[in-house]
Amino acid sequence: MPSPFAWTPLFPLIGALLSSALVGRSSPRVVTMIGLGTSLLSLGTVIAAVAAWDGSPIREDVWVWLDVGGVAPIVAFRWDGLSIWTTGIAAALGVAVQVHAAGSLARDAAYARFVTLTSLLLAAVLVLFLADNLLVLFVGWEIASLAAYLLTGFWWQDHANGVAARKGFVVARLADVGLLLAMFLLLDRTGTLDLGTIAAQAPVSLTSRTAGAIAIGVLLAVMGRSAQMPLHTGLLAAATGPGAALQPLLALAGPYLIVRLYPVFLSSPMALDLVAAVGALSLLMGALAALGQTDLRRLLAFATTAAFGFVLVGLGSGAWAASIAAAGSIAAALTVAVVAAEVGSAPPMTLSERLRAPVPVAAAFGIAALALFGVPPLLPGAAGDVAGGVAAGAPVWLAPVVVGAMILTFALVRALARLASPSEPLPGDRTSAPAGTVIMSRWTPLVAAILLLLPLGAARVSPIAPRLGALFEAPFPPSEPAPGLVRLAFAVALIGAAGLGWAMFGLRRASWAPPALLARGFAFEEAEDEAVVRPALFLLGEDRQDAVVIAGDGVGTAIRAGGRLLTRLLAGDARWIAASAVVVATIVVAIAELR
Amino acid sequence: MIGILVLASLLLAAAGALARGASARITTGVGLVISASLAGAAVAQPATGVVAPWIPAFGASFSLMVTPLSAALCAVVSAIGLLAVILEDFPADRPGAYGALLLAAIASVEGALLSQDLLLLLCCFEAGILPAWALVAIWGGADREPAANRLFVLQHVGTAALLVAAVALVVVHHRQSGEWTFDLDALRSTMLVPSFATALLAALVAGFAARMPAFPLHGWLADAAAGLPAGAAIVVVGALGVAGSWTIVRVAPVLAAAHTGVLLAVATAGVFYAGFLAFSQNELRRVIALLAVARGGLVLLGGVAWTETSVRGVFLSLLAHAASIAGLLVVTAMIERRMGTSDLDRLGGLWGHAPRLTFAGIFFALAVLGLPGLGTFAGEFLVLAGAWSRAPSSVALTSLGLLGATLVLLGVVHRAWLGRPGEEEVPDVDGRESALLFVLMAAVLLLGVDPQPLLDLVEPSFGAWSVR
Repeated sequence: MPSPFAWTPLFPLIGALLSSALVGRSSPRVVTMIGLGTSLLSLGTVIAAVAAWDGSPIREDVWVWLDVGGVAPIVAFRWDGLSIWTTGIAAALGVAVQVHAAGSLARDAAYARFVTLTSLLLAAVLVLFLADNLLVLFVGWEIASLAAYLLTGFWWQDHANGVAARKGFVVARLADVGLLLAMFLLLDRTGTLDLGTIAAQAPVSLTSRTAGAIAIGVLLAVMGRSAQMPLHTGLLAAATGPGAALQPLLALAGPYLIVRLYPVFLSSPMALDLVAAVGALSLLMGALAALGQTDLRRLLAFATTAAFGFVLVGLGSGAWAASIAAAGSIAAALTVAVVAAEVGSAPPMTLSERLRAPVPVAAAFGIAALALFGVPPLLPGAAGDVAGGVAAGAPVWLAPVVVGAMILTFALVRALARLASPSEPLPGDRTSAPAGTVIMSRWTPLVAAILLLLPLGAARVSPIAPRLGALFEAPFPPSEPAPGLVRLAFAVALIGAAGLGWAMFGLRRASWAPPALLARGFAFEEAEDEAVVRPALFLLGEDRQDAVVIAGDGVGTAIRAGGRLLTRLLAGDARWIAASAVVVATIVVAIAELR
Repeated sequence: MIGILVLASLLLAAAGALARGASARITTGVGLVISASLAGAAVAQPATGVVAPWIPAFGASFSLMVTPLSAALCAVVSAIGLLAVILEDFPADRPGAYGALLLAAIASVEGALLSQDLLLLLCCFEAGILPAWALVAIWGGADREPAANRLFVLQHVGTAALLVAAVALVVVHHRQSGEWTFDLDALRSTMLVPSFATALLAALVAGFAARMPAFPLHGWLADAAAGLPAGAAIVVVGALGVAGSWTIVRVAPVLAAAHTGVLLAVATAGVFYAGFLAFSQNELRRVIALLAVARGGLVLLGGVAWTETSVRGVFLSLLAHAASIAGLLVVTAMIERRMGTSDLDRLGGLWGHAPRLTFAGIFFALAVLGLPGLGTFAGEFLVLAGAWSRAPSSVALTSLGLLGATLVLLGVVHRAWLGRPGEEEVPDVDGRESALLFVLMAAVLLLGVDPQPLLDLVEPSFGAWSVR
């Protein structure tokens, strides 16, 4: 009988199976019960397991997947501070998304399919967070990619969605090759993919070069998963699909993986610098691009890139405990923001129009925007600890962190000002939808914001860090305590950015437009189309013939022609035979003479 | 004894099919069911063999050995043959001959899998060319003549290379031990100098590559797959290559001294080339055939690198891949039955009409592209992880090359199933078709989720081999 936490992923999986049986049948109530019920069971299991936990890491072997010649990925789950934090967030966000779906999609014929995919994604993410083996983690990682692919292409009737989905999946799989190669390297050098053992052995059995190579592979996969530039285009493609609310949860897997393999990163001097550099680039460029967006969903996609860039800078500076704590509340805040954007903007909202979201929706968006980096005095969160850790560990990144966070906060407040601006509701604004649906979905984001973000946003490292410390058997450098002064400065900077944004767009309705380059998100997508997709399509071509077959047929033709020639020479009339005899004799004589 | 029964049931059924004509499909099915269940039952049994003298002067004998490994592979080959029967597309023109040729081709594959004697194995290979050639030459569609010729020439040249290599190996073994034998286990003790071993390995791999087929001797497969009736195409793409793939694993330990660099490079190049070619094809069957060629490169990599892990990966990969490729071809056949074509340019939006068929299609596409959790990934991972210690650069490149399958199959999903549904109604799969697809999906899923019991079952037969 496994410990209770090992059941956590099973409930959404059962939910996925049950609701998949209802695809094509119209029974929204049953589907809601299945989807919401299983995700609540999952959350309840997490809570029960936390209550029963004695504070030391638990490992639970579920079954032997493979055991072949030294490769023995055993499906084992791990229950420790890190997995509790991430599974808890995943389970809570799962409930929020299911409630949101029940409110916004229940009338749709495809509702059961949506619940199936959402539950599948949730189960995969839970496996990912609980797995104590890198290969099992990878399975969860890839199934989550698959579910995201199917969610992005959810409205399959429109070819554009299919294109976007394919792009997201290909970017993800390309990035995941890095993780696959890192696994081969780890298996070769440490003889195991067991995460606990790797963490214990990495400082001993990995040279700094090997550790660096592994870290680069892992980082590549993390960049794909957490939408770091330039691999963020997959998320942009997914931002318009119905699964957008789950993207922040997926992105949380990136920082999680880095923390799980942190000893490997610590074994290489350049690995952490690289992580911080990637994060800083994504934070600054993502925040600037978010500032230029008019489509609320694209804005939030860029905000995801930027916010997880912030987390990566923290991880790269050594402030791992604060960073993973902040990553959790950032994922929750972004999820609430996306849900609010979806509820408040059907049809999709552009900020340039005079649109007003229902008050609770705007309030939820506001809380999410402020909770993202924990704007004080409302929510003094872990992000301040990250800034403090950066100042202590790698001060060179402090300026990008503060500036990036300020720009992103400014951009989000600007969007909030539009959502909350007092203007007449547009004709047809949500009035056609059935009344019960609207009320439910209108209040969803606010309830989620209050239930999730107020506690999470206020979370600081202190309650989690001691638990995280018991994570690895190997000596593990504790996160630097945050200098109070840096925290204060960070808080003041954020208040300033938020205040400026509100003053410009909330109070005065300034008509400032950001440069076009920002609106195009630094033209990454155009560049990708021109520099990668088009040349690749040209190279791949249409209906290509097999060159090997053509060459083979050429050989065949040549042999046949040779045979015909020979026949003619040897079986033709006397003149040909005589002529060929003369030629052969000449050649023989010539060779003999020359030698 | 079981080995003889397995082969006899196939060959007797072939004779019966030829004689009965009209009810050939039933006779073929009965033969395949018997052989599949005999082989399946033998998986759980200890290895047994029968030996009868053949040419004592050269040490050749009729030696058939049923191990759990060969039994499992034979069972899968017969089961894939059974799909050709279930699909109900025996040609109206000479159905008896069609069934008999299918059975003969399958019998040759299983004979090669069961042979313990290298000469007997080569004879099985050679005997298999003729039925395959005849199938393509008679029922191979519009381009059947060049397709059949290509098949014949490539496979024949390959087998000739095999024969030369086998005789050379036996002669060297005779010089070292003073005894003439073609027995595979005995030959494994031969000591070879690297240059000679390399030459032999190249010749052997050329022979197997023509059978699997793998790049660059794959030219016959796509045409054959495109022209044949769906059932025969499934057998040709899914089952015929199994013997070639598996024999690499069986003989490669002899050649431990060989330099494998070039062969590994060819294997990797094959993965890229086949993926590249598959992308631009419009006909679904050609796409699938070329992806099978790409998978041949992976099998070659695992067999040539030959580590404890990689050969078990090849075994798992063969089973899972055969099932998922066959599944995708079955879906293709169902599409063809409804739309009259598998041309991707003329499909599209099938989801709207046939959601269950679409589900199965996407499932098998994901299986072939190696989605973690499905059987193909488990095999692929073991092959790559096992080969890493010997050839890290090949493994790294192959991992990247396998992405080609992702690109290709997502394109297929996009072009065939997504998009606006067409005007014409397309019926979804009926109960019988669903059951067939369900069984195949369950097999692929089971191999991915819980492959270890099967690996435990066949482990004793691996134990008999020396590990480099």
